[in-house]
Amino acid sequence: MSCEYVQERISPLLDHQVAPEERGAVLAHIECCRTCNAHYESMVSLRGALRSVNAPPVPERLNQKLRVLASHEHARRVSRLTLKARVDHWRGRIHLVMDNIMRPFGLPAASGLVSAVLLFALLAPSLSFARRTGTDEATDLVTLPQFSVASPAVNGLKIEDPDPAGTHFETVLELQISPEGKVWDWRVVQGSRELTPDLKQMILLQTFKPATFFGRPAWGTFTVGYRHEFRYIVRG
Amino acid sequence: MATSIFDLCGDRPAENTAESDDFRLVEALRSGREEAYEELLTRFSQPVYALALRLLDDPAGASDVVQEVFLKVFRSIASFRGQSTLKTWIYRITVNEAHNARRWFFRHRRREVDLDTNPEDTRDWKENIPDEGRTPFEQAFGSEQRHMVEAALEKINPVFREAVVLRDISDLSYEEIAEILGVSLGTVKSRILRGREALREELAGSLKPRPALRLVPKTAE
Repeated sequence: MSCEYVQERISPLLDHQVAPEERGAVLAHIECCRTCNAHYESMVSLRGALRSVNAPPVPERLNQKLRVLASHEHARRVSRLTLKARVDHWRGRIHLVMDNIMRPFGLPAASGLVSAVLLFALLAPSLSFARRTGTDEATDLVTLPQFSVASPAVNGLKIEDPDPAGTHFETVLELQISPEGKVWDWRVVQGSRELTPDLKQMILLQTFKPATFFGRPAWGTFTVGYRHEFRYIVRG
Repeated sequence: MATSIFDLCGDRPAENTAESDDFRLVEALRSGREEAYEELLTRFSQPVYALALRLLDDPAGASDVVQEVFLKVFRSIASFRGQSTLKTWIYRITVNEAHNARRWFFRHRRREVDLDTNPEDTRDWKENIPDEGRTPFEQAFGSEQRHMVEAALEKINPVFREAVVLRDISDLSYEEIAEILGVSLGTVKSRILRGREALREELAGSLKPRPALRLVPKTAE
């Protein structure tokens, strides 16, 4: 048995990995061979030194991380054990996501809504609608006076359809129409202050459909003008 | 009436107990019992960290490996078939993760600076090893010897080192080492032999000789 062979057997010998029948021969060689004995001794010392190396302590931070990891994995496993647990798990997650979304946005959104309501309540009484003037068509809620029955031409004065654009009149009158549709008064806006009797007669004979405000008859004004032929325009 | 071979021959009671403990722990983990997670960490966090640290020589890398190992254990426990012991299974995961970490380390980590440490963690773990009941001289000698052994372990080939660490420090059997490393029994013997020889050469003359066999003058065969 050569020294090289024996020295290769020393390591398995220490771990009881050498067959019993060979073990005796190897030990006998080691006992009588100084080189192999030194090799054996150094190997025993090495093994003792390796076994004396203490286990390094687990860092406290790693311990904490492992506990957190275990807690998460436990929750994950429990949430997958049954269908009910799965449903509860996903409900909880959705609830959590909604909470996380609503907490940053819920307060600003609610305060914005309340502010808008308060501002509207404060400003609503002072709101007013602009009165419609000019040639705009009347709405159903507010209507202007209209001719109800047009009188026939008197001495060459003739009633025609309104033609306000680009027409110059010698005299322009503003008629005040009562809720009954009668001419209550007039005012000369442009032209001669003196009206002819024919014109006065024709004005007084006119009947109007009164202005309405929310469906009820109301006071209104009606502007007319005449030149050679009597014309009228409506200015509101 | 006996129900198993262990009942008949009364052999391997400790191993049988360990297997039943493993089975009970695995079942508790599968059923989601919280104390089972704590028990698993109590039993295996320290040996897994020690093994990872010996294989990587890097406390931060070892911590990462330990977390990866337990994450895999927790998530794969349902697929654990009990063909090996729980310890062997976990050690095998540790060795594989340490291999991956070592490969990743040589590609990336050497250029990085670890910021996730505190003064307590940055201190060398070897300084924290408790060693009670010894004289100051023995403590100094033991500490120096441990440092030399650690330094020598870092110098030898990682392939041999993991075999030696599993055998001499983790105290596993050859069969368990073969299962963990996924190699044959002969390869394990060879790696342990080569690892010890490499360590012996690294530590030549520095180890305290221990009384071995009594020399008797004889003629060599």
